[in-house]
Amino acid sequence: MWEFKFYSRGGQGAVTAAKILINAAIIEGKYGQAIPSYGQERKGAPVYTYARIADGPIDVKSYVYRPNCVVCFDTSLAELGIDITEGVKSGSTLIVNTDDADYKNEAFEKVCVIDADKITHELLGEVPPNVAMLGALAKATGCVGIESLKQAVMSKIPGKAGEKNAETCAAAYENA
Amino acid sequence: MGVIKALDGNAAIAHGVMRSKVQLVAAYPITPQTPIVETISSLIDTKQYDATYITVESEHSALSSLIGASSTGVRTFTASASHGLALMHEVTGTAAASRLPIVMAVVSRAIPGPMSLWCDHSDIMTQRDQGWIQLFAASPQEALDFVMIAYRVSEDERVLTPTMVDIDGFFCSHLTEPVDVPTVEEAAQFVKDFVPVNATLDPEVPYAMNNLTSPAIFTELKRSQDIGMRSAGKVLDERFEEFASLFGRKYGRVMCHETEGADTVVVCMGSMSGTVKHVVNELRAAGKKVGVARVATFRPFPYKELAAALEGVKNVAVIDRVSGMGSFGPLYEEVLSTLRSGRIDANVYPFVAGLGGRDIWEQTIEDVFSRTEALAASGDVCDEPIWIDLKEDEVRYNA
Repeated sequence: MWEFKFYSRGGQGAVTAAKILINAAIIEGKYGQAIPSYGQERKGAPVYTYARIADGPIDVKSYVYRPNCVVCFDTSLAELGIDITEGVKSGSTLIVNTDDADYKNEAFEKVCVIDADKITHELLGEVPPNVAMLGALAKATGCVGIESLKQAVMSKIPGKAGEKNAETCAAAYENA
Repeated sequence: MGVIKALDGNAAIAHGVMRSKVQLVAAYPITPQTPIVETISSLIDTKQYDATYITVESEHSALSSLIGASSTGVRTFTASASHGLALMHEVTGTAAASRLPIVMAVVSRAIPGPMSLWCDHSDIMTQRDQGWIQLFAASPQEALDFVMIAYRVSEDERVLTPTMVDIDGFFCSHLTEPVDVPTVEEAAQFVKDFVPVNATLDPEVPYAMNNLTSPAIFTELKRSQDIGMRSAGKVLDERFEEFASLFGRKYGRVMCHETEGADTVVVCMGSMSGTVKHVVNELRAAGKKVGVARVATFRPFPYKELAAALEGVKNVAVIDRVSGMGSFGPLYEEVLSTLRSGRIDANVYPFVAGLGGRDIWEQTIEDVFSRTEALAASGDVCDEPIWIDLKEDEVRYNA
């Protein structure tokens, strides 16, 4: 079972990303679960979101404390004392949004560096980097295929905007 | 098979309401229930669902509107949580005593104080004795299914009692999973048109309903109500059976996992049940004889069914998601009654966990099992609940 913890800030679209991700899993006939932890929402505040993907039904209905995949939308969260390596299982994967191509984190077996802000900015404009992060996540983990992910993006965001978001997702998949 | 959609518990409830052909909805928004009424009003607004939505100024008015509407013979729904449910309290008893088959979703959130947005069962437990059937769904799929089942049970002439369908705030209401949504045609095989059994209000033939009741008849009306509530147990079994034959999803008043031959069984309700099941599977793999008996229908309480599940068990650990201040949690007290009336001689231990949104995760449940094992070995008796997930150094008192 894939167990994800998303680290982000309010406004970066991680809650929506987790929902799109598990919708892609459902499209593939798998089971998925997305569970945000809500606080007193405000833009810029740290937000934690959790997800699971499995081949069979998922009994657990709690947050993820021992992730095997971490998705970090914002490396500056470390300045708030937030440790993205907390509870990670050995052999875990990290998908990290950064412009530092040499980013290293030895707590993870696999680190996937993606400049999701840049890709999003170039293809979509000033909008959250969430669909780009999902493209990188699909590439790094193979937990869902890019085609079902694009379909899930377009079902969440209808019309022309959905198509452009799906293209951004695919571009991140290619660049991750 | 219906259509598989990614829905959270709130959206699943809204779809259950639509598939149950509810004719009138009145509700006032409150976290974490708000998305239910938002979804319903949006389905009505976009003409996907044909129903009347009454915007009201409070939860008291929401339920009062339903009491009026249901009395005229239409199918009704509302939803609330925490403070909102507290504000309804005065009229929840009226709805039940008027024998109106109203269905309400309760998205459990701690009753203040301290002020909280997050899950525990202190809100719905204030309604424990108000005369409503209380169903505890553990997942978005169950939330949808229980709403459909609730109407059939509440409207049954043997029952005529309103139902609360409870889901845990955030841990179910905002948890997205694949949900099998029955098509209109499939749902129509189960949900029938509402045919009121009792007299209905008619402006042409005016009369008063639920007026002053003298001591000469009050007791008999309460006993009639009690019989209706108790009859709901059998009717729930019938509808669970029928639902399973149509949709393939089998529910029961008590749902057991690995209780057969178990030494230690956890009794619990709501969203934590799946997490307990997961831990039971892990402990079973490690050779521990453990199981879980989940209570899905808190009212009427399934004493006989739970006693059957606990027959031969040595240790029973009960997890309440409410403090039972000065006493024990309500589920623990029901389990004590079950053991006594079922002549079952088992050790029973009261645990309190998951208050005000504290997550009940694998480790919480592992602690419950290991503490139970230690207590059973020591022979100690608990004269107050064990606060299993407490940060001892944060507790302040001058005792």
